[in-house]
Order: sequence, then C-alpha cells, then structure tokens
Amino acid sequence: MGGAVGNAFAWDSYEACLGQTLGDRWDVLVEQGFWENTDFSQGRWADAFETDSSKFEFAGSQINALPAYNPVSPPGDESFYPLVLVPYDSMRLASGYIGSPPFLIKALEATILKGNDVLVEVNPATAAKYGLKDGRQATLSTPRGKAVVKVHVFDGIMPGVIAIARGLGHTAYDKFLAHKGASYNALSAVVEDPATGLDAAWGIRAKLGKA
Amino acid sequence: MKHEKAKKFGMVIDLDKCTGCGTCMVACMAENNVPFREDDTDKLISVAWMRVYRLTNGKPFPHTEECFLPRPCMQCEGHDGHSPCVSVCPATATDYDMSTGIVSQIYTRCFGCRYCMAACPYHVRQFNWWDPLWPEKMTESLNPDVSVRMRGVVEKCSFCIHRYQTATQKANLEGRRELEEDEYQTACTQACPAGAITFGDLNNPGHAVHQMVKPDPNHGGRPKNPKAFRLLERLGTNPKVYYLSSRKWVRRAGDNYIRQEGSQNHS
Repeated sequence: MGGAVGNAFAWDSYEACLGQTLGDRWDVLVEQGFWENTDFSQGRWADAFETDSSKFEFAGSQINALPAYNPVSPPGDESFYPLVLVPYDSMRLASGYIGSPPFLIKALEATILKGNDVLVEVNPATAAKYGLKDGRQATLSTPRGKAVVKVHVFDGIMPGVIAIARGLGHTAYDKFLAHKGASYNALSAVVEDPATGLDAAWGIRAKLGKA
Repeated sequence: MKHEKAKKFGMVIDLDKCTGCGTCMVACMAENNVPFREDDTDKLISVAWMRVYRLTNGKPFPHTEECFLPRPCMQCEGHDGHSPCVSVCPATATDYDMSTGIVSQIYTRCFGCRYCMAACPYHVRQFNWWDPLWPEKMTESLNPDVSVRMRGVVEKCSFCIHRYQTATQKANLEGRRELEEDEYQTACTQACPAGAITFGDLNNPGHAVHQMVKPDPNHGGRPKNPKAFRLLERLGTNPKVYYLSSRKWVRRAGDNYIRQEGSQNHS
C-alpha cells in the first residue's frame, strides 16, 4: 500500500503490525508455530445461555422470527440409513470448481484415493458392527444415490459417522483426475432451515455395506 | 576420515508446524523432474523423493491425534560415511560425499539391482518400473539442471544437489569460496508455506540448523533440543534429517519399541 492509505498506518508492513500488536506472543508464534494460553479454561457452555437451545440465539423480539429452536436432522430415514455421511476438505485435494492437477493427485495420501476408489473414513466400532474391513470395497448409499468406495478404518472419525473427502468424482478434466472416486455433492441433499430458508444440515443419512 | 571441517548439509523439520499440505512434495516433483502416472496410488511403486506420511497416536475417538511427517532422503552418514545404501551398491552408483555429506545417486551407473532399496530402512529409494512420460507440452517445463531417469534405474532425493553446484559455480566466478546460507536451499524448504523445513550446514554455527539441533557432548552427542529426534535412530544410520515435535507420542513414533519398553527413551 502506498500514498495516503499507506501513510495512515503506523507500521511499515503487516508483519511489523503483527509483531507489535501481538508482543511476546508473536515471538513464540514465529519460534514454535503455535501459541498456547495456559490460563485458558473452557466456559461452562451447557448453562451459559438461558435459551431453548442452550446456545446463543440472535433474533428481533419485535418480529419474533425465532419462535422456537428446532434442531434440523440430516435428510434420510434413520431406520434404513443408520449412519451419517459428512464431507471434509483435505489440504491435498482441491475441492472447489478447479480440480487438482496431476502432481497434487500423485501427492494425495493412500488413505484418500486407492486405484479409482475414494476411501471413506469409518470408525473401528462402526466397521466391526457392519462387517467392513480396512481397504476393502463397499457400497455407500444415501437417499440421493450410490457409490462404490473403499473403507479406511480410522479412529479419528466419530462412531456412526462416515467422512468423505471433497474434490473427487469429477467427470471433467484430464485422465489424472476424471472418473476417480465419488463426489459428496452427488450423494447429498438439502434440508431447509424453517427460520432462515438456508441449507441447514451438514451431512446426509447413509448406509455402508459390503460391495 | 571424519568431516568436521567439511560441510554437512542437513535438515530440521518442525512437525509442530507441518500442516500436511503436500506443497513440499509438489515442489520437489517439479524441481527434480519426477514423473507421474495415470494411477499413482500404489505407494510401493510410485516414485516420490519427498513423501508426507500421516501418523496417528492410535488412541480411540475422541482422543485420536494426527501428525504429518515429511520424509526426504535422510542422507545417512552411518559411521564414517558407511550409509546403508552406499555400502551395498555393487556398481558404485551411489556414494557418500565427505565434502557435503550428501548421498548421491548416479543414474548412468545404476543397473537396477535394487540392493539399495532393500538396504534403506526409510523407503527413500524408488525404482523406475516405466520410462517417464509427461503430458504433451509439459516437457517444456522440465528442469534443465536435473536429468530425467530411464526405466530400470533407482532414484532418490538428492537434497537438490544441482542447486549446490549452481550456487558454488556462481560463488567461484565471483571469487568467493563460501556460500551464504540462503544461496543453497532445497526446493521443499523454500516451498513450505508453514516454514516447517529448515535447511543448512550442520557444521556451521552461523546456520539455523546448527543452532536448532546443536549436539550435547554430555549426552552422547544427542541434540540439546528436547524436541529433536531422528527416524529409526537406534539402527545407527546417523541421519542428517532431524525432526522436532513437542508431542511425546510423535517422537516415540520415530523409532521401533517393543511393548513395555522403558518410556524414558527420547522423553
């Protein structure tokens, strides 16, 4: 930035600004990459707000736009689709309109893509319950569609939830990306929040069975 | 022959800073003309000089933690330059350079017996099962300073030795014998957006890597930095790539321990 705008700031650069405003914490950040507040203790969220949802609610009392808190469930029949499928973003996979280039596809972890199949994260308890084995093919179905995937048994995912990486299942682009894996977009559905009209659900009910 | 006076290029990778984004891998492949295939998901035959591994602490949900670990060539010094791969090569296609501490790979001498791959405990060395093939036009973006490798030879991370050669030639032309720290840096070091990789001469007190893993003579030469460790240190390969982690389970994952073994190691 230059001219009058640049002169309006007291610092020569953004880094100088961060250094001055963060003080000692900036040195710690540069040194070890993170800064830990040892005095921090988590608030008692369960009774922090006296609202129906026990969470922060923001609405005009005049128009009464938020008459009641109604939790939104992921779409699908729980008795037929016992699991919940959620998408996640991998640092090594472009998940937007632009697809991953070949070097990035090659750099993708073996826990996300194997052959032409995307791997979905499944908790060991979920895998045991449905007889799924690590690395094996499985059929993933939701109310919206079906896909062949491979199972990645992983402790880091919550039991009852399946996670799929965003950014695969393209039909466009080159042979290094196209027709590899499955897209969450093709399997998901929208649930409208009655108060705002926005898409409110993160995830969709799903079933995972042996292929 | 010990090489105290000589250079000993090494790397320190701070795993607390690594986000696992894979930029180091991409930068390495672009810099060193590493090819890719339509299906490169079989990591046993996929050629990558730098590979980022994903570790977990093995604890059940919700106590699971992850750590990403980038793995270039460890440039093992072993004892007096007897690194595992150099010792077994029948073609002298790989050697330990006492003046830099870099383990070379001479593609034109390699006849593909793959003894070195069996000897390397880090899966650093990889075999070209196919001739490299780039998409049309992409051959124009190949790095002219690095030769491409043919089918039937082994390749591995070179610590971007061509950059050292170029920088040394430039310095010599300018009448200098010594390089500045920033004149020779590897592609992965420069590309890392988190600043997790530090590269330099471990023998030079003026270089950051020297300060980060300064040896403690009272502790068998182990780095004074309690966060520092190396991979499979107990094999005696004496790697020049050091890792830093504030997490004990990550440091312990760097070596093999038998069950119930004293937890005082590397604590």
